[in-house]
Amino acid sequence: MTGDVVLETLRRIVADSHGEVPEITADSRFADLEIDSLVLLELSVVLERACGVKIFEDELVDAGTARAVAALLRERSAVG
Amino acid sequence: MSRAAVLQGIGAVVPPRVVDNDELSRSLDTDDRWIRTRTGIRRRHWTDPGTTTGDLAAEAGLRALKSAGVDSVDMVILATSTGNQVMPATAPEVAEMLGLDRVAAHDVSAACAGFVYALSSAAGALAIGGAERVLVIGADVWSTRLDPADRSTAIIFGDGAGAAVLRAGDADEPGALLGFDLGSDGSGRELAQVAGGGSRELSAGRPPRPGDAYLAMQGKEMFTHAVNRMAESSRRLLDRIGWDVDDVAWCAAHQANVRILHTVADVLALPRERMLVHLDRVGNTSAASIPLALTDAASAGRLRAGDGVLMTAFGGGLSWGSTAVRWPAPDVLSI
Repeated sequence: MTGDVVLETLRRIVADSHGEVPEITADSRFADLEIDSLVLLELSVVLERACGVKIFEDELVDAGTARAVAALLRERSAVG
Repeated sequence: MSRAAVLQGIGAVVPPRVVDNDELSRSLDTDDRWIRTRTGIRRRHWTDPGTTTGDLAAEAGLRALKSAGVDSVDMVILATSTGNQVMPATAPEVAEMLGLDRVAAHDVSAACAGFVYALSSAAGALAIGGAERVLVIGADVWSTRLDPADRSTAIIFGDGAGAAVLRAGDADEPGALLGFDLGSDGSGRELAQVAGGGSRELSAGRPPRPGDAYLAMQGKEMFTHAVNRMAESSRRLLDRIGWDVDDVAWCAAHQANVRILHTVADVLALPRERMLVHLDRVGNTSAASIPLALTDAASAGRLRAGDGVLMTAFGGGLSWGSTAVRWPAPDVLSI
């Protein structure tokens, strides 16, 4: 569920900013997606709103994939 | 039962000189595609030497008066952060240019949220009988306060002015402003600022720093705050006035960045196509952006009588605010 939210949000933001939707899977590396600097910022804002958990942009960079971000979200939701 | 502020007319103007992304790319390390994908901006208008914020404000005011079909008001409120002088306020000068003899006139300083704040001040004056009709103007000329070498601001800002005429009326009339949500957070004042020119600099006991005369902005922090503050403020306003998201036919959000507009829509669960987008042609026009976007959409026939219109703004201060109106469909001159 959480993983779907992350992936779906990421796909929408990338499609919006880049005009076309590259193939993005749960294991696509952010670094390989040629996404610009605002994409992860937008992802951070939208996920905070949708899931009530703040994950900063540099944490998203460190997580590196949608799957890892979803795991981070689950972990923080459980703690919170 | 206090009197409501009713929107009677609207108008806006940008200076004639167009500055497109290619022109900026010749002196800055950027290009058209970079600017378009990061901001949604294709071009903006900058003033020529000799044109002031007050000049643009007066022209926008004149157009709003024409739209309202009136030639006088008894109060002028100008939202600006780039007034003609540090002191006095620019609104009296604008009133004088418009031939509005000795009317009440003052400036409101709330950066990009200034127009919504000024609407609120006008609504207050109308409610207490301090005025029967108020001209509210948002105007800024940032082009002359941009560091030409600062890519983060030089590509964003455009000059312009927009205005609305409000009259005293009833809350159930079309055009009545239905409520306000306003807020601020001074702890974020350094995120978007002109550091120099004020008491802080003059009392610091050191010579002014040349760079402090320019607008400086922390873009990423402002992006995040803009989305969160506008979305939260919009939600609070909608709750207060009893609107559902479906009641919002159009959202005139401060035009800072198209990706902020889209993210606000996503957070509010508002279809993105309901966000008015004007910044592609004029950039971020600060206090002028909401009346410019409304005038653009109205003159193109997109805003229909009775449409629910949400206005929400965020800017330096930090300051933010929202209001809403059922569109009264005044005659509007094209920008």
